[in-house]
Amino acid sequence: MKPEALTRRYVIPSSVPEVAELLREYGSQSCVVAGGSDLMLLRQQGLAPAAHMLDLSRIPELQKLRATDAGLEVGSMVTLAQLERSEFIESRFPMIAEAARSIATPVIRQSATIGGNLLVENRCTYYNQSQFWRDSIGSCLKDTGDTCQVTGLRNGRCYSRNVSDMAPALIALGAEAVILEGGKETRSALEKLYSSDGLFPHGGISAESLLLRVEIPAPPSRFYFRKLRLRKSVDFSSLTVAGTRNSAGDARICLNAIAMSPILVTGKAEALDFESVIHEARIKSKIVDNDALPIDYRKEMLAQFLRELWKALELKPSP
Amino acid sequence: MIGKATPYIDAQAKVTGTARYTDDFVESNALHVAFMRSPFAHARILRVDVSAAERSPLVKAVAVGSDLPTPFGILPISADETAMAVDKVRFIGEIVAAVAAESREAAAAALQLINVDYEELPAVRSPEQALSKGAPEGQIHAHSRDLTNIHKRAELSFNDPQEALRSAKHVRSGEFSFAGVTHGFTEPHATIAIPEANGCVTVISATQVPHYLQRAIAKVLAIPLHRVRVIKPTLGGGFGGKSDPFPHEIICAFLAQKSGRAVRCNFSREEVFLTNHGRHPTTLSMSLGCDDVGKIEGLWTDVVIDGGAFASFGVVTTYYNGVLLQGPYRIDRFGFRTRRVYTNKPQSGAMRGHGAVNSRYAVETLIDMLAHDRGIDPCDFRLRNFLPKNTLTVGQLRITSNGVQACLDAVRKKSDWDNRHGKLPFGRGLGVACGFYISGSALPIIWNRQPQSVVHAKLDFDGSIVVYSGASDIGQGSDTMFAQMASNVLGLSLDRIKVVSADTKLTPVDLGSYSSRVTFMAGNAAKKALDKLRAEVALGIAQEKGCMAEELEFADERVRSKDGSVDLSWDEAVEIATAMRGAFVESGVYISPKLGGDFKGSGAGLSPSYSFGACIAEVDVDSLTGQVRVVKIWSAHDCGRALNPLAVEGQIEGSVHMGLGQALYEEMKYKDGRVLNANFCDYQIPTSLDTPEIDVTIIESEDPEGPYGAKEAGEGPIHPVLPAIGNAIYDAVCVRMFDLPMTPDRILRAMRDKESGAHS
Repeated sequence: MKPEALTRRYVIPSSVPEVAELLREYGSQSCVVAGGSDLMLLRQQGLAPAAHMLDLSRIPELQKLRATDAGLEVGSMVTLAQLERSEFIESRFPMIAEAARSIATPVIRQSATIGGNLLVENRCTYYNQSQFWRDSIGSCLKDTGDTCQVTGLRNGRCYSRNVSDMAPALIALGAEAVILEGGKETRSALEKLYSSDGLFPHGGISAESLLLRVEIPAPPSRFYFRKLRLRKSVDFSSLTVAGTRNSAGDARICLNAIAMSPILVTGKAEALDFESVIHEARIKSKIVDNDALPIDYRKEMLAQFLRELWKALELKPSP
Repeated sequence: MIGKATPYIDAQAKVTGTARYTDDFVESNALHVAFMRSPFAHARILRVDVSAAERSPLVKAVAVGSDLPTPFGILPISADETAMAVDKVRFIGEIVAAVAAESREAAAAALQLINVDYEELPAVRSPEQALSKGAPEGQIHAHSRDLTNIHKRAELSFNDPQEALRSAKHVRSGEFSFAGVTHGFTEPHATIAIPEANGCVTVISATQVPHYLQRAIAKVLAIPLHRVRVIKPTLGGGFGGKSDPFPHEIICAFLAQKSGRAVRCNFSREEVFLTNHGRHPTTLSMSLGCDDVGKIEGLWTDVVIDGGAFASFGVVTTYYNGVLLQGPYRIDRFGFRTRRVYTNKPQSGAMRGHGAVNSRYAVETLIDMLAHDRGIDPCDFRLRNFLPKNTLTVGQLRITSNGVQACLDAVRKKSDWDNRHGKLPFGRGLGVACGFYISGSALPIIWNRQPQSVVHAKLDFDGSIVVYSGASDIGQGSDTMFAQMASNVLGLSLDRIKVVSADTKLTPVDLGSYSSRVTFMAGNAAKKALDKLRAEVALGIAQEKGCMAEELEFADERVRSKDGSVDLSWDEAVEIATAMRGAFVESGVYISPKLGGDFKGSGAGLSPSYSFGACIAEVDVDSLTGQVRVVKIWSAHDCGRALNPLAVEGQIEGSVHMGLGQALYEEMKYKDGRVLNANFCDYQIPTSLDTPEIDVTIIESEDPEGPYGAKEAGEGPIHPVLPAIGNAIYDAVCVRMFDLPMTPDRILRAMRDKESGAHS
């Protein structure tokens, strides 16, 4: 082992190959700083203790925001502030701007990035607490304990919520993730990055891989986006619903913050049935008592938002 | 300068970052203090072993409960707290031990070396549990009677209110509940303690009450008062949350003495939440009766407030929940019972609008209900019941100036109430409420013959004036008020005036920034000192120039006689005034007049003057989601006279924002005694986007005893905000909200309940 591997390092690589090399070397011993607005709080609470930090802020390739023939390419280090201010995005992909604006605060959006938000760590009332707090309750499954503090069970199930707001928006838009893995670029549907496991919510991307960019196809003809939260700023999502309908008549509906991973429902617009979509959403969601807003209310708002979505996408018959 | 909008004299330093808050003081070679806190809500301490921590080379001193066993508390009648837990811990987060080490990291690391053995005791989680009789080991404090955990009962009744309610033609009752809320000040608690020669100690601390802190440190450290000097530097918000002496302040003083080194601490935000002292979680039932024309005939309320583990200001809070219902309406048949209980949670204490915010919500809601029942406009209903000026309430609170009607008239007109209330489309609503509040507690906390405030004003050879006051400027602008007064009395520009405040060694005693007392009490003392100083200058000139002292006018940095025969520059006047004597100091004091009746509890709520206010809120409720958007708030407040309209406006806006927070968003949440949301992400204070346009009207009723007619403006404006929002929600969607905060889920549930009730 190299001597420097024994110490804690904060590295600011300047190129993608350099990051790839560092990731190969450190793997799960490192964490990627993609803005750091969430990560630094986790570290302060002792929840992201990886020895080495790889700061991606000085890699031009990851900061590219580019219109393509049909759609859009967004480098993983493009900030949320850039997304909300881009005139091109506002006119062609208003849902992306709206989703970006719904996140955190204007100051945080200056440093927070799309990559950071897409791969934001899952949250839970009983996990996002100080070391003192977690020690006093006996830790939880997602931390170092063996019991889920939400359910009180030791069945290995963690119900931490995926709270990314960019994820449901981009999944509804049919975005693809471009990932550097083993020195090669691979691509996959964005929703494939997520796994329905609160302990390891980003099962589709390994610790040695790097999210380079997302590619978004042509804009839809109709869209719907809404985020449920108590305040108009700061708050993480209690429920985010995004939906699109394209000119070919395909509808994509993505729900987030009500389960360990985003929930995607797709179909031909004319074939989608409100009751079965609601039914599917309810089955796939895991709404438990780990959020500021109560369970029943979130369930009711899920139905309400879907009714609004139905109207916005002009799906039939209306509920 | 009086009555002129004046930017704070420390505004530039604050906005440019040069103002020095406690943590900005560089004390060379200072040790850092870290606190070990209890992980148990209620447990006996069997053993505290600090030997390993003491052996750590970077640790210079360690403190444990048995080092400082003398109890203290802001109120001498309820000193139930020790600097660190002695025999048992009473809430999760209570300090058990402290270490002073060479660095912050070393101090934190040393905490891991301390071993504490606990034996868990049954914890009291709820007020209901606290009220009932239990086993001795379930008692948080042994002094609670009958094996309960009741801390304080207060009960007063005038003219048989129960009978009044039985015989009243119209009665409305409600069961209300209010979550605990906390201050959310910007600057966390911070303290620096410096050992001085001869066994003295200087404590620089973020405190609203340097005087009481001086007393508490002297008492617990068992050293004479004169050996303790407390300095409050620039302070980043208090709202009542820094108005007690705190364990960490006493511990720092002790560790400074023990180690012989300066020590410092600065709380994390979580530690601030664990310290709490915020508004008491409250449940109350209230009944209010009126006659056919809306004249209030009787009020009775039964209140339970959750005090957490210690007393703080709780005895006062217990009374305030009742006695401060005596205005702004005439209620001659009136009574209450309040019980404050101990629970195993961080203690509740004083917070802006102390003790009167929750019961105000209840009474203003019931008034609204009665007004609707009787088909009387809610503003008219209130108008019919207002107390006049210069009167006594049934509990003998002395009302002097009273601008409540002008307040209501102002917000009614500005909001176009008469054309819009009850007439807006479903989902939109207007609500109104009024309030009143003390302008300084007439009774001091510690009974002695000292004045409540003393101010010194010094004139020196260079023509400058120094005003010395113990009053704590916590952002409300009291330092600026002193400067404005000096400028006004002596006709000088602000650059000649220096204010030295809140340093117990340099400044005469002011009791502190609580109960909205500073403008009234310290302001009166300052005015007296400055008037005397001016008279002294005038006398010197009169003697030298052979004119009448009363004939001299002080303006524009000159002293002139009315006939023009004397016309001196300020420097010339100063040369005469200081001849053969040099700099001199004049002193002014404030002592409240004797007030109140002679029944038990008659002292609660007494004030030399009361402020009044009215508020109208306009809301937009989404009937499908229950989400409320507050569209606009009109707030009018009678502050007697606005010495600094800019500051008054700021206080009213701040009160509206804080009231909005408690009404719709904020709540201290717990999981088995653990604070669940001890940060500003999860404790949801309304953001700028959630805060509506606030229309402020200042009403000036010219108080006969206030300095230049002034009375309080820092707390009173909060009271009507919450019920105005609740009543507006009723106007919008026809549901009464009895539980705060009024979150969207609760509003939606109330609407569903109403619908299903209507169909059943």
